[in-house]
Amino acid sequence: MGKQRIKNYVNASLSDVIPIFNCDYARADNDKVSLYKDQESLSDPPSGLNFISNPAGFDSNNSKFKLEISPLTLFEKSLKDVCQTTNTISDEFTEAEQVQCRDVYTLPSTSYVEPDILYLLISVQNKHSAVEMLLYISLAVLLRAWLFAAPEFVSWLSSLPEVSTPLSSWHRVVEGISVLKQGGSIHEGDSYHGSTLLLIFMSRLQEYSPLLLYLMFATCDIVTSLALLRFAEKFIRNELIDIYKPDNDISSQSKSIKLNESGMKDIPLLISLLYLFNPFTIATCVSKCTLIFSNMFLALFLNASLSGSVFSTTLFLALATYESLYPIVLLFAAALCYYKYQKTSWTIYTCMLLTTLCFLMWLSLLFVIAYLHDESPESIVSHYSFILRVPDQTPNVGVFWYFFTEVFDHFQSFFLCVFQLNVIVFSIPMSIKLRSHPVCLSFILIGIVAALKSYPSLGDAGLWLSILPLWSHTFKYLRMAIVTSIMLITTAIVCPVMWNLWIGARSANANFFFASSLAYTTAQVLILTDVLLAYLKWHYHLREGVCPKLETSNEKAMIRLLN
Amino acid sequence: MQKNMLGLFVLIYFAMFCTCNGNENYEESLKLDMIDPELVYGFFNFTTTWNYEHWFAPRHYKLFPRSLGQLIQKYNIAELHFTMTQGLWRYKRWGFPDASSPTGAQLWVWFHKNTEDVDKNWVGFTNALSGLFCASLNFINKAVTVTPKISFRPVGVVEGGETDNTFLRYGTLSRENLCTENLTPWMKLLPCGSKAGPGALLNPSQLHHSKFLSIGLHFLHDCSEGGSCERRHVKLEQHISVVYDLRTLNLMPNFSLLSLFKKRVKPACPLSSRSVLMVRVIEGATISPALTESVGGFSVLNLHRLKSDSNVQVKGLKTPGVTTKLNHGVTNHCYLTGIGLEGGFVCSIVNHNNREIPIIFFQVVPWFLHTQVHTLKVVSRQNDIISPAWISYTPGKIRESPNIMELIVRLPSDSITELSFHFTKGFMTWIEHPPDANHGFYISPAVITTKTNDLNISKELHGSVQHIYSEAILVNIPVPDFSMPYNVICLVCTVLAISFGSFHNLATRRFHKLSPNEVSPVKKKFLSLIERFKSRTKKNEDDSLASTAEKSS
Repeated sequence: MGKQRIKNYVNASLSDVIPIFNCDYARADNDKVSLYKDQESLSDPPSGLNFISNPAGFDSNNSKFKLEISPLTLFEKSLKDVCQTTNTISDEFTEAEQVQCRDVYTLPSTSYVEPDILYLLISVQNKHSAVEMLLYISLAVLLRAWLFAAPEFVSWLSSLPEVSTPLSSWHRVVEGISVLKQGGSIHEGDSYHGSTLLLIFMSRLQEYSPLLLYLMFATCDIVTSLALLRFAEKFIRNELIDIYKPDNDISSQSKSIKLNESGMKDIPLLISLLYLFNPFTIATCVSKCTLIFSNMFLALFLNASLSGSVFSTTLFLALATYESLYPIVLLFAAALCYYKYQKTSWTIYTCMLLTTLCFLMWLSLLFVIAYLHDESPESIVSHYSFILRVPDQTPNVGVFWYFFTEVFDHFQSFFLCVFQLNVIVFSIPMSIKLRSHPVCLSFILIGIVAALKSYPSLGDAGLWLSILPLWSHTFKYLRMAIVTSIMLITTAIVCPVMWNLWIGARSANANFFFASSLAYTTAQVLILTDVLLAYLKWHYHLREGVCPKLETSNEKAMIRLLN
Repeated sequence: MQKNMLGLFVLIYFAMFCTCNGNENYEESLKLDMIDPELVYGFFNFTTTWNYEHWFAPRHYKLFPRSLGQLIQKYNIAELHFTMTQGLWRYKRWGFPDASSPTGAQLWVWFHKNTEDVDKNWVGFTNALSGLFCASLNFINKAVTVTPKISFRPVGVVEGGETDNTFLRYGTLSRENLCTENLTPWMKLLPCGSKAGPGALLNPSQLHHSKFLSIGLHFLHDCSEGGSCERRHVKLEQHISVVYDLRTLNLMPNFSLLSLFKKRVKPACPLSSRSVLMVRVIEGATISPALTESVGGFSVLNLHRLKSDSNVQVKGLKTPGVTTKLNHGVTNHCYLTGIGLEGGFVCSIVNHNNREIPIIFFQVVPWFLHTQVHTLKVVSRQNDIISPAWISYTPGKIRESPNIMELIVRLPSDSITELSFHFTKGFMTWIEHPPDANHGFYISPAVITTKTNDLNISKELHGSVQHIYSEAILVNIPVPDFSMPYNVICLVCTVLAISFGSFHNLATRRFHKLSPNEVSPVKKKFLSLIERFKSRTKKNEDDSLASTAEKSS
């Protein structure tokens, strides 16, 4: 009974695990293995079992199979039971209450497991998280309700340029509703710059009850956080499957940097909590910025993109694009996601075509609905021209406002093109570079758009900063994590101070706020590039093996630039 | 002497020709009134009327100023109202003026209905008029121009009877100052200029010592007397309203035309059919020389009968105990509230009458103040919310059009009504700020329009409607740093370059393995360069050694 390094993981509750060892028959289809007590009950698979097998790893020499157990997902008692059931457990393991999951137990081959099923990866939902999640959600709702109840704080918050932009501010929505009620056209003037459908939705909602609005905004945040939770869970599971597939191109020397389930177990919850309790998100929600809808659509898009369903993916992408235009850069990412996680076996070109067609269909559907309401294309044109032409130089945390306040008139259109191209141009090289990592691609593009778009606010950064822990396994490759994170936090704090000095106290001038907002953008860009570099390095090491230096310490990987 | 006589003959001939000519008529008058013992109000009125057969398209001008007539013809103008004002008319203490005008420049024009492109004509006309009056009226661009729906109706008759306000353009420039350079071209439009009659009193340097000064020019089509309006004429009215504060001019017990204007009144303009000086003083004061004629409380001096330059004195003014409140109509006072970027605009409108008065409230808010019409509130002092009978709100567009608010409110009797709304200050590019940006921007005055019947004032003097203008309000917009466009361009472009460079680097970066002993390609290249350099110098040395060896050999 030699100890080997662990290859696979078991993630199951006890009641699910025990039958594995008592079952008579197991059937493998695709990656799933279903285990059955006997031949007769073949038609009714035991619930809660969802095994992923790896037939290629069958060790035919001794016809034994290895079971890897991730103890963090097993309760202590159940682990003991597993051991007793199998009767092959070494003494240390039985005694160990806190098994470190680094031991492999070779089980005697028995007739009840088909010989081609060797590796089992059992993935069962964490039963605690539902209750826990409910607790956190109610806490988040309470926090928002408490803040909503302080109107002075809310009005101060919504007056901050970092929080609400002309595109997303709640004032504009209310103004738009009142213009709409008077029978005027919303997009004739400056009253409202957002999308028509959102305004109509809001005005209907307000007619029912203003309380519904508060509920709506809180709900949006919760939906976003749940979508992020599901997204992260799915993503981590998929990554684990990818990495522990024996026929993949992962080096045997890269064990130390491989994803492991115990390390990634808490990440989904962390991500959703980071979104729920992020000050950026809370400020956006409490000041009732309509940006929250874009964020929700993006989160739902991320969640849907892993499901392999082209319709839901493109629907959420189209909604996000309709809301704020820039998410259109994620179209390639959506296609690549569909290609990677599809249930069918289309080629990449078919996937791209299909995604684009679906996206265009949804988007034109939205346009048609908006057009039917206004009976003029003005509502669509003016919304996007406001985003693209940046006529409003109200300060925000982006790079546009002060530049176009100060730039010379005759260079205005040139720089406008350059700045707008700068936001969208990254989508193509990044899509090529990260073609086999569509989720990372989506993340990077969301981050770039949040940092460089024409009317950014803190809420934009809130979304991608919350997803950041998804790459926590690559963080040891970050080069300047401390510098950039301190830079981001400092500038986020300094921005309102400078704003107050300039506008409130009138003791500073525009340059103070400009400098801090520019530093904030720089920090975002630096974090994004750092994370991307870390991810690329990690992936390189995963394929090529880790240099001995890295394994022993956190020293820099011995990677050099080739070209 | 003979030359002078000849000139006189020619002048008399023309005067006779013109006054006898039924087509054109010119009247001039100066009305001096006392608002209270310390304030003298002078109102100069010069009216030219011209009967025409069918269409105002003259080729030859006699009394009507050609420079203006040509503009009116070229830009197809039906009605024109232009005023430039220095100072603020205090409606509350001074009552209603003969011609109401807001601070700064105001221009509103009705174009003929056959005008093809009203906006083009408007732009052309404002530019032409700014040339004519040496005023910056060309700044009345599309961001300032509005088309009020009901506040400004045609004063004269309208062809076809129906008005269509798509042919109306209205613009104000509150920052525009009235200067001598505007006054001089204005006076040149008068048939006799400042050579004769009341016009001779128009001494620019003295006019600018006043508390309030306003020049006006009104062109309209009017019915000729005779009721049925079959015959029409065009009418050009030129006004000057001036208010002197006697105390600041140190003219308190006695004043005269000479002390006010530093000029004597001259005999009438020979071209005029009527030329009068009307004076009304408050009780206790006397006019010298005593004027015998009297019309409606005014002592009248017919300037046609005047033989030589003369002076009129008013004596025995007494310092008032309390200032009497003259206005029994409606007054309006507007102000700003709020700090930071959020601002509030409040107008408190007082109705002094003991009956309900309907008014039209009209306010143009510049595009850089984002008006929030959902915060519009009309509340009477008793905290009763008044719902306006009619509201028209046109939201502004950045750099293109201002926010326009027009509403009908019924003011309760003897009440103070507060009309308020919120706005957020916008931001402008550094080019758009005028010189002295920290001075701030003016919001053009709120205009209240009422029927003269409701105000109990004379319809003959004021027309059928009375406009009441509030203060032009100064608002501060946060300014950018004007000194550092280059710095901003450099800094922002640097950040963009950093982002572009980093992402470009990552997109093209490839990793490869390197054994610890292996040197990097860059270093390798560098080393090989050094090697080559070394070998070359060595070779050179060898060569030189060889050559010296050769020489020595």
